Amino acid sequence: MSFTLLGILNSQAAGGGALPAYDLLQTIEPTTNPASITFSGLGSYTDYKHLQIRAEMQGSRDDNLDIRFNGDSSSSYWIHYIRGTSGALNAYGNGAYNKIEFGEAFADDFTGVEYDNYAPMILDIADFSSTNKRTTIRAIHGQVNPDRAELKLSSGVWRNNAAVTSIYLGLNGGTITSNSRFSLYGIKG
Amino acid sequence: MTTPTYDLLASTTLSSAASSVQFSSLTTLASGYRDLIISADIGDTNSDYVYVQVNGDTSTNYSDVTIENTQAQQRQRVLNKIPISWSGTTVAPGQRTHLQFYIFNFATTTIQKTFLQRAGYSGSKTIFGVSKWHSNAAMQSIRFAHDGSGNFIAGSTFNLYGVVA
Repeated sequence: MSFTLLGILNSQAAGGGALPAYDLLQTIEPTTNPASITFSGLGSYTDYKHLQIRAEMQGSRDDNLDIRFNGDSSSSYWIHYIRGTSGALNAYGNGAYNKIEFGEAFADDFTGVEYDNYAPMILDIADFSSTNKRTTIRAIHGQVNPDRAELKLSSGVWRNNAAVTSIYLGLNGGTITSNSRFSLYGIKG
Repeated sequence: MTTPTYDLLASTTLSSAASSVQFSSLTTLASGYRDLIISADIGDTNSDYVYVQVNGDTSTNYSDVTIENTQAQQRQRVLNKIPISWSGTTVAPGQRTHLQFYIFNFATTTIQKTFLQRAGYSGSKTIFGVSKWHSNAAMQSIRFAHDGSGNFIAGSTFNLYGVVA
């Protein structure tokens, strides 16, 4: 026996009048090919506890996503990841970088059917407006292309207690392909 | 201006065992949404992989990279389905699988479809993955089933959410 749904909510799943807790705040879809994009004005999102970025990323090269907060380019960032391609996993952790780098988070913009996709990412920024702890982030991202196929579970720390008011996202050494998409969501808590 | 989203579009709790569960008419059901998320809590009568197929496509049009416990696998266009989690027998009470399947830009007709997935089985496995359906077609249906001859047991739940962007 199989079960097919056509969008009918059953009675057990009906909502109980709860308030929305996950809201779209901003979306950036570059129409040119910038080296970076920035979400700013985050201090106005006082209703939200956490932030999440959902992205589909393609660039002029399959290279790192660079992340900075509040324009800080000092050596205040630490990085950790678990990486899977095939066989054994490998992991990395180190610090005192001037940005958080999520390795090979961008898909390359090679032409051809097999390259005709964007690398997905879900990035969580915990308690972004707190002023009494360092900002931590985590993400799952990856791509499946002929020249690069890997999955990463990445995290990072910004060793600064300031509230996050802006998030810089750039492609290391390249430009972001138009129609890449970066959506910022707020999560209440 | 903010937009509330992550909306529940369809949901079921199985009242009897079923070999598969399918969400259909996605471009109608999820019109106005860019991304989809499927969250499931599953019990099974057999121990095997839970997999996904899109638009009824059973050809080798799927690829993935997965991290499963301490190992990784890469399979380039050799899969006829995407294994996204492990579902163990429920002979042992309380053995359940929870999975989340993230679908990006499901209705586009200009790029191939990519997915992220993560799942945990209370008996033995944690699985993360990135996967791809090698097709530019809009996604109209997605089907969850498993290898082997088992069934999803009564009480298994599948929820479909829409996310605007």
